[in-house]
Amino acid sequence: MSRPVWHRVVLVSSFFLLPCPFFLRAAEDDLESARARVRAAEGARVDLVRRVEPSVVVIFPTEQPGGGSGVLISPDGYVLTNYHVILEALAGASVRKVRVGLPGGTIREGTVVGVDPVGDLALVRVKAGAGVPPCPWARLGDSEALRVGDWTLAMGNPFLLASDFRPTVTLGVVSGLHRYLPGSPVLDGNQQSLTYADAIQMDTSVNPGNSGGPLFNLAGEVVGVNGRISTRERGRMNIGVGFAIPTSLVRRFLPDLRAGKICRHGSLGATVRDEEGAVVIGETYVDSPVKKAGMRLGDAILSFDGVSIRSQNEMLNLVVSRPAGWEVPVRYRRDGKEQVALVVLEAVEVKERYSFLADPEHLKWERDRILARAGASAGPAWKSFEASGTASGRDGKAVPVRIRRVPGRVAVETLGENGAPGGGYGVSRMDAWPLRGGDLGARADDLIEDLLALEAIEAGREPKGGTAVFSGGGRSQGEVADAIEISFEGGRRRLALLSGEGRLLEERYESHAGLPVRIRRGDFRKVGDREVPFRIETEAGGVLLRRIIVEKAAFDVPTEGWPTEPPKGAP
Amino acid sequence: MSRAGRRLLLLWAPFLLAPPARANDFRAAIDGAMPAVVKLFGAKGGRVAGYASGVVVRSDGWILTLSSVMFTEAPRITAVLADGRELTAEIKRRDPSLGALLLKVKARDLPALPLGESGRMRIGSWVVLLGNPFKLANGAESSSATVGVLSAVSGLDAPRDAPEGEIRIPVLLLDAPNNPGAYGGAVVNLDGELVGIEGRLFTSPRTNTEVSYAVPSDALKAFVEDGIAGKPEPVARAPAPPGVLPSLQIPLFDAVSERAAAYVDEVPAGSASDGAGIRENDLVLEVDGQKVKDCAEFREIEKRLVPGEKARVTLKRGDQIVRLDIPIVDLAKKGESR
Repeated sequence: MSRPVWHRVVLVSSFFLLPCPFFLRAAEDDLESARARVRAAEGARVDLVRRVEPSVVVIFPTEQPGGGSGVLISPDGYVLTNYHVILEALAGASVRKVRVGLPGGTIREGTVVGVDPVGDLALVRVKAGAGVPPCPWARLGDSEALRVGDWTLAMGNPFLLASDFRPTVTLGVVSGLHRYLPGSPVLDGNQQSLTYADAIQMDTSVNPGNSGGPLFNLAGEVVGVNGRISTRERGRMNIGVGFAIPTSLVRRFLPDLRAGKICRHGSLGATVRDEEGAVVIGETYVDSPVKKAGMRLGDAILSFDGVSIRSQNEMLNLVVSRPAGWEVPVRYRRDGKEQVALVVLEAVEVKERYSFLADPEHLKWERDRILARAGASAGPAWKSFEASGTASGRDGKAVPVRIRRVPGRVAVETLGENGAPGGGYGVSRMDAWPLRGGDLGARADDLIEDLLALEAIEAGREPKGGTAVFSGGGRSQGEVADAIEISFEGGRRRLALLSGEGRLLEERYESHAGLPVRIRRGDFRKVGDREVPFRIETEAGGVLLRRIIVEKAAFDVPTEGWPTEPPKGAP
Repeated sequence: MSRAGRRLLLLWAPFLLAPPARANDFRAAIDGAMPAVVKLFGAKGGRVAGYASGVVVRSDGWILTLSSVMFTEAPRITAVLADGRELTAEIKRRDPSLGALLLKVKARDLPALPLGESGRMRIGSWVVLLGNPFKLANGAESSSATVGVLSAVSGLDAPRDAPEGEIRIPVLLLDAPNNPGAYGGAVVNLDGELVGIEGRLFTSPRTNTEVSYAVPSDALKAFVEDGIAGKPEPVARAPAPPGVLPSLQIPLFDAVSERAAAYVDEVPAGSASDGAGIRENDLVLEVDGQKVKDCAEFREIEKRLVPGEKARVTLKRGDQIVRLDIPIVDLAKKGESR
């Protein structure tokens, strides 16, 4: 046979022989490949440890030796740890200052920024940025993706073994998820109940000293904060059952921690009990969150914040894992009919051991950062913006609209048949005028203020005539957001919720009529180098007033035909 | 290498490279076995926790666990299935030599995990323990999983206060943590096969050791099969026929009360007890695996012994445990009496 044909024969026959290595392999090859797999896993683990180790720190709350661990979670110098690790620093002589040891032996001064006495979390900040070497930090991962049996690595300083602050590493598996552990006399004395909600249970060995340190997945992401172990009569030593606060919970409280708050955990203001396989509302009081949302005694709760509820335990677990003030959908059944109520959670009562106030300097720094992110995500200054879409109001009728904006002015026009302009609103800093009849149901003053605040926030500035303060966290359309509270002269206030990437998700304010108004923006899409909301909903007093769906958008479009003056005879 | 050779290598390369590290090596085992793990609750008794674990070994409601005072003295045993259903469990069979207990609940089509082949386990193999330590899981919440390896297969010199008595067969020794509540849980291999039932954690404060063991599945197969088939349990020894007086010839200090603990009285030098190794002030704890609460109970047990055989007597001497094989004599034949 000629050589090319021989090659082809061999190649073709190998397709049939390909699966053979698995069947023809001798026992020794099986062992060798198993060994290779184990070595590869080991190599990956060792590399992982080396990679994330620099972000794991030791925390000393007082001059005395003794402390816990923590993990750097951002290039700004934020260190996540347990509340019970830094507790002593809140009362000490140098109030709120802790010493943070980085692997390698350097010690930096840290300031306790925010605390969560119920959830056992605390945020510390060490100097970062200009003048200091960069802080290696670890990314927060998705604890909701964890499965029982997943490998995890715990890193920290158990028994304060490390004199150069290099963390101890232990390996184990996730033993259980969504565990509920109310109260911990060992960790918090008799002051208040430390509650571990939605906790990760793992057999990864953690001991006194590990508290506050990170639990990593095999991708090197932080999935939990180690804080607690079950013990037997032999004292506080690991026996194979440890607990970590999941990052899903940390994320919900992180904005409040960054805002220098004492975090508040959610409560329904009602007791629930197990009754024949359902979870039913028991005692409640008149102004309780559940009552205000329209629920009452005997209602059977089916799901809370989108999670199915099967037991009283699960209910208590979920409620306390959400921040107070959050609005949470609760699906329930009454007399055989299923309904949904929006419950605004109130706060679990907490007796603070030490008073704690936010540091104004830090708040200002954070606010500037958030606004800068908003400005950056909005892109460079634009001359004009035009979008077309449909608006539907309370009557449900969809009407084509065109939205045009230049700095200082916006026009929303309804388009009649054949795309001809119908009625609408034009708004400017100076005044407001209707374009051509038509009323979209909003007052001009509101729209002006809206425009001012909106433009300023999107450009990353404080609005003229208003002061912007970082006031903690909130949630909009499923995303945990930073809340910027804007106060205008005369007492008017607006709340802007911005995503971690700097997108303006929602604005909340009270209309002149005293109705709570919300303007939600969603479906962000890239237009050029900017992210634009393609859905804008306005809700007043809990009723959806208007929904605008943007179909097309463009920047720096020519503005001919743009009304520059109010029409004659306009008020 | 020829072009053909290189092409062949390229074709086969994906099969020759080691796959990357997986986030979870135990997913299959846990997903397969967890639905069959149940949480058991009974009466509290002294230091014994009122909760444990069990495994559904047949889908029509047969649950295997290990015995404990909490079960044998409980008026009611509740089994909470993996899906949260609470059912009353009935004790159907006991095996004191293994400490095994077979329960039955009224159910059908339950996820079940039949007993696998513990004999094929190798030292160093991974095991996953599924159970409910510290009652961390309630209702339909999933039980806990912890991993370790098979450290050894060995007989165990069980400490005195194991309520289920001595385990005389070789057991699986594991280095996975075992905690109160995990007792009776499933021990599975990487393939999710049931290779053992989690036993008691034995601790010795004196030597600061902890030993976690599991009863191997192979040792439990006959017990489970016989239990499901409804075969009668091995009959407890009947009392000796009239005219026979079985005795271990151990003098007990029962002057104060028959209900006093079974302490050994003076042991005359040269007597049968002396020869057998009994000493004054020994405390009789067990005879042939049966607990001896007091002198009266000792006498009752003695009545059922068979002269000519030997009984294994467990004694407490100071803080030591001593086990002796004592010959059983027929006092009637010997012409002696108390």
